[in-house]
Amino acid sequence: MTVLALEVVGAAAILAGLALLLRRKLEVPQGLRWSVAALLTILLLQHVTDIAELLGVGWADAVSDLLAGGLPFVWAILLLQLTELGHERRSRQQQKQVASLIKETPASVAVLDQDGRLLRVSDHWSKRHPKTEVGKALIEVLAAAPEGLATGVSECLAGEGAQRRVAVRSDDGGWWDWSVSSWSRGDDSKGVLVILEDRTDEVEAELRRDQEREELAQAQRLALIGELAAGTGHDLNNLLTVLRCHMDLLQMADDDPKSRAETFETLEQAFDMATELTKGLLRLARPTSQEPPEDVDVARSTEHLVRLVERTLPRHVDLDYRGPNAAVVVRIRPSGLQQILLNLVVNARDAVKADGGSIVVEVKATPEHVELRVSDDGPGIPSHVIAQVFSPFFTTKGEAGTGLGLSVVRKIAEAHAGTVDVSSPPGRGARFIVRFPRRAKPSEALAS
Amino acid sequence: MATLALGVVVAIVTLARRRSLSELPSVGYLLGAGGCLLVAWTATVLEHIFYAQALNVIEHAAYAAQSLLLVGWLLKLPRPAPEADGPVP
Repeated sequence: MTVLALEVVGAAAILAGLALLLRRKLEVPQGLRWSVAALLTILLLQHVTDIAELLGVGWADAVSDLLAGGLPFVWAILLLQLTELGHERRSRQQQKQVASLIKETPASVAVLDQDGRLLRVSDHWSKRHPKTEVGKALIEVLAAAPEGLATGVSECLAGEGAQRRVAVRSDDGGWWDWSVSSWSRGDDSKGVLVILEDRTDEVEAELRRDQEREELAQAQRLALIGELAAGTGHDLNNLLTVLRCHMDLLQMADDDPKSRAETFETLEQAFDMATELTKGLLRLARPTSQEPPEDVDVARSTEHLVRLVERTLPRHVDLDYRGPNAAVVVRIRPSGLQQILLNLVVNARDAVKADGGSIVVEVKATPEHVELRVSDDGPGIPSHVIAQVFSPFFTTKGEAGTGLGLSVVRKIAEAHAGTVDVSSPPGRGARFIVRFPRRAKPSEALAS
Repeated sequence: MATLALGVVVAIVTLARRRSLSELPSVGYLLGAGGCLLVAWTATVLEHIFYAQALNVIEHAAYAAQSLLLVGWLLKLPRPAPEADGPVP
């Protein structure tokens, strides 16, 4: 009796389930609906045959066993379909999460399809670009497409690069970084992710730092010129004395044409030397920030500068120049080369000036590089500070030094794709080597 | 006996895929129904060996419970929601 009641309850439940499946709209695909219907039908038939068996119908037992044998197969099909459904559901949920993430991300983000059309954008993006509409091409929604962005998008779509960055200045004076990267859509096609990042504060801070560095370098340069001016002033004074004396000689001179010609020649030479001295100083004092790089013969420029600088050195310091006769050309701002040489020579002078010594400036050329070497025979640099000598504001001269000289040297060298190295064997002085890439084909102007 | 063996295979496959199944709503009812079916089949086999009467009751009770759980699952299934649009990365 209990068993019969259980079978009746089961059959009633299955009947209710079938009615539910037929009448109610459920979130199940059509294939799954059929599988569930088949399962419920088999179960209903099984309950009915079980009831019939309990009521003494002869064939019911065999039919019930047959139906029971089909049940695992129907369950297997049903579970496979449910697994697929679960997989799709999870995938859809992930899509929703990503969509929500993009929408709410606090940055300007746009996702493009393989045709460069907008698929999704963040709220931040929509506020910045009011014309934004999903389905439109990126270029259509931008008031002014920054240079390089369209190319970056095309390259990413063509798979020619995973990522591109384009820094642009907007109309309102801000600095923006466009980052364009490709993403795989999972069906062999590629889309593009565009991120617009406001870098105004960062870029302006960097510009301010650059300006401050430039001003410091300029101040340091002027300090060097001040040191040179003292020595040059002494030379100039000597030349003026020569001029004065010879002008007096001219006034007193007799009419001997030979003697007058000699005096005029001496005057002319003195004038030329004075002019050369003042020109040299003026060249050094010229503002440098806007000066473009040009092809410079390092050998000739270095030799001229060494001749100018050697007038400023104490008598017990020898300055010697060794370099090739042929032109060795480097692409550099001329004032940059001067500043490098002045800093290195002044440092060498400070190293040797206590008890005298010698400084050697050399220019060496290889097929690929041009080296500017400045060596002295002073006490050298202590090994515990040698790693710091290029750091800004590091000095061993106390109050007398600014600590900028060698950091400026390195900055100028690196700005021209060069390097600077220092070596100082104990007790054998110091040697600085500044290395620049050599210009294989100097400009015609220099060649001429 | 063959039905029970097939049922065990289906149960193993179901366990292997439980991560995907767990995404579905009220899947516990469905898995419970499957479990009841396994109990029913086991009882069918065992009733030929011992406790015939008790195991027969258990068999039919498990079938009834399976039917009730299936209906419960159908009742718990949600109504269709609007489809999400477009692919996303």
